[in-house]
Amino acid sequence: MSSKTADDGSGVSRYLPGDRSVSITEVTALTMPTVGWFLLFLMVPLLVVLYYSFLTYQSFSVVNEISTFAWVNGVFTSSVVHSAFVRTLGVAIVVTAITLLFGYPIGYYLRFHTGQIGGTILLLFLVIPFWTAELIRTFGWLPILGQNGAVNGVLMGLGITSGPLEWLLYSRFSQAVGYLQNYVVFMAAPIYISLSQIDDDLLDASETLRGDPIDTFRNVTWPLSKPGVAIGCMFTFVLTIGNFTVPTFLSGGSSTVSSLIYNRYSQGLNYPSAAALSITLLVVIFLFVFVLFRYVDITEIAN
Amino acid sequence: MANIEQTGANPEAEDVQRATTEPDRELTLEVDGLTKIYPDGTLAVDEIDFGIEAGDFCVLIGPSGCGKSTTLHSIIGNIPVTEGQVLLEGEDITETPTYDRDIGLVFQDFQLFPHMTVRENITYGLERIDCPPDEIERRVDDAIDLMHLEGLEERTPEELSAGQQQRVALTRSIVLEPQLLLLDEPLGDMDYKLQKRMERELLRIHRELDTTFVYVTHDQTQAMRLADQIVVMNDGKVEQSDSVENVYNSPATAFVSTFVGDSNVFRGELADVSENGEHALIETPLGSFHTSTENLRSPPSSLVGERIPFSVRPQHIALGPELENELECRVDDVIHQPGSGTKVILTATAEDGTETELQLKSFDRIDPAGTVTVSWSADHGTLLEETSVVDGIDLETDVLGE
Repeated sequence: MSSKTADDGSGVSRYLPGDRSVSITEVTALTMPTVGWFLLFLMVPLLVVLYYSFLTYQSFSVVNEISTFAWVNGVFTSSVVHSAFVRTLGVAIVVTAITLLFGYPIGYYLRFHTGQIGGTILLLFLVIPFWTAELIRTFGWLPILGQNGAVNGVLMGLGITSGPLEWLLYSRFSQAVGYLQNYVVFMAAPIYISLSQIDDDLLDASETLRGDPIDTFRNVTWPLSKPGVAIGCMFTFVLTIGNFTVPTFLSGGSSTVSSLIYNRYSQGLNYPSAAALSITLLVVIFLFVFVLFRYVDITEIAN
Repeated sequence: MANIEQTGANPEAEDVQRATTEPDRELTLEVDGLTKIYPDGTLAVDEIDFGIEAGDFCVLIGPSGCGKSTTLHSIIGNIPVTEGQVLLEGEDITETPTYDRDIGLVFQDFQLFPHMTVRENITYGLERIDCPPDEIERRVDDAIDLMHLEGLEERTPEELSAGQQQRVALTRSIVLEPQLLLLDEPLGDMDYKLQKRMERELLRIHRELDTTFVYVTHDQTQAMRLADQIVVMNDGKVEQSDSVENVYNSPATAFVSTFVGDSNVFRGELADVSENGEHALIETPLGSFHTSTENLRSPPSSLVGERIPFSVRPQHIALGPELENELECRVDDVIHQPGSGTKVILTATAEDGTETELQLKSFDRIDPAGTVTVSWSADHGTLLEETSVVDGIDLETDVLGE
């Protein structure tokens, strides 16, 4: 390495110790495994998917013949796909909003109203459901929200309702509950971290400048927690779009993009169409995240 | 006069003038029987009382852990007090939330809003009190002008130097023209030069605004440079609350005498009182000395036979035997301070062998190894009847740190 530096350098820099290139080598060495992993198991498969999207589908088999059929017919001109995208994005936006509504108070409570131990215990409770698989967690709602489930049982037993509430399961409600349970922690945790960066004295400063608690929240706490909110929203939004179990098991059967992708290859082995749809979804998510972080500087959370 | 460099002002010079002006001015802040016990049982502040006159620059001073911060937080109202009252302009604000108190606070570490520009930081408070936009504009412009912040309006706090941040923090509070402005060691982390400059700036602002300032610090030399009034705290109690001259020249306790300014403390027994009662004779292991009885709270004759220490300020001890009280000492150390004379550390040895350390200020050249005779006038001996307002404070171990 040192000989290389000496050869490359010109003028005075030739005689200076090669600290800079050495440190770059270390950083490179340390990041290599991760970069390699991503190249091998993310970029390569994605390229394969992209390649597949340009192959041709004929009667339950994929023909090795380049065409844009899957893109044109399976994505751009398909009204099913259009409505699925609209629904998926709509659901994701609503779910993100609901999760923010529930997640922010949790993060706020953890930051301002719990001690070291209380906070840890509460966080643990939020994490415990993740000890089981997502599928189990989602299925777990069936005996709770079903026609003969726990909630209906209690309501009817107490005489509050005469018959079972239909809207509890296979509805927008059950979908929202499923998403919320899965993702509220992804929202609350970054918000909690973001709020933890705020010095208590900064809030006192606002109060000594005549800001009441609402003013203080609106003008100091909220703006300073925005990086956490952005990261939480990103997680929730992206995970909701890609989620497969909730729309499959808790919705009334309305398809989202991910269930559409699943159907295309499982029911007709239409790999090119599924691939084109996957790439489209990827681009949409990427655009969303890109736009979000144009408006919010998440590097602030590092300070 | 050598003391000027150290304290920045000669407390005696203005003594007469200050004592005679407006004996009973309006009190801006009154702290009445304030007690704070924290949930863990710590008694941080124990029934303290003091008042601050309108327009004064008051310095709240004491060693760390003396309850200054608790007092400060009780005044701004972000901790609930256990007992007692805080009155602002005669109005009880003990239960008033912080944002309804007409009190500003400048933090030690500034606490500027990092997501706002300098101008937005300054505008913040005015917007909270629903000031009309054109008035906000005018007041912010005036404040920026007063604090020399022109050209920095659109910067964010992280783009400012410490001194500039300090000025913004001050501006953001004074633009609201609060009845009382608290400053929590705002110059604590600054280098010497900047500190001096900011001190002058503070005094200028105080003069121009005519707002009452309460400045919290543990730096007694800074306190003397800035204050009209000093509140000396110790272990949750107020040792003395008085004008800077009275605190320096007539300390209420031995603690005050040693904490505010340098003191040479002699321990002895009050043996005799002169006929007119103005002077007392103190017998110490180092000999007998005459002192003034002016600082005694009780009638001098009632104290005959009591053990009462007295102090002499370093600038009042002269080399040579010219004055009434003489003492022979060994020269221990000569610390030459260019421009401000020489600090001489001396040791006087009693007949029983116990040693007492003394210091004095001199402009003469002194041989660091010899012996000298020093003397001081009886009028410069200040008798210290009480050790401290805190019970169980021992003069030797707690106050003199021997």
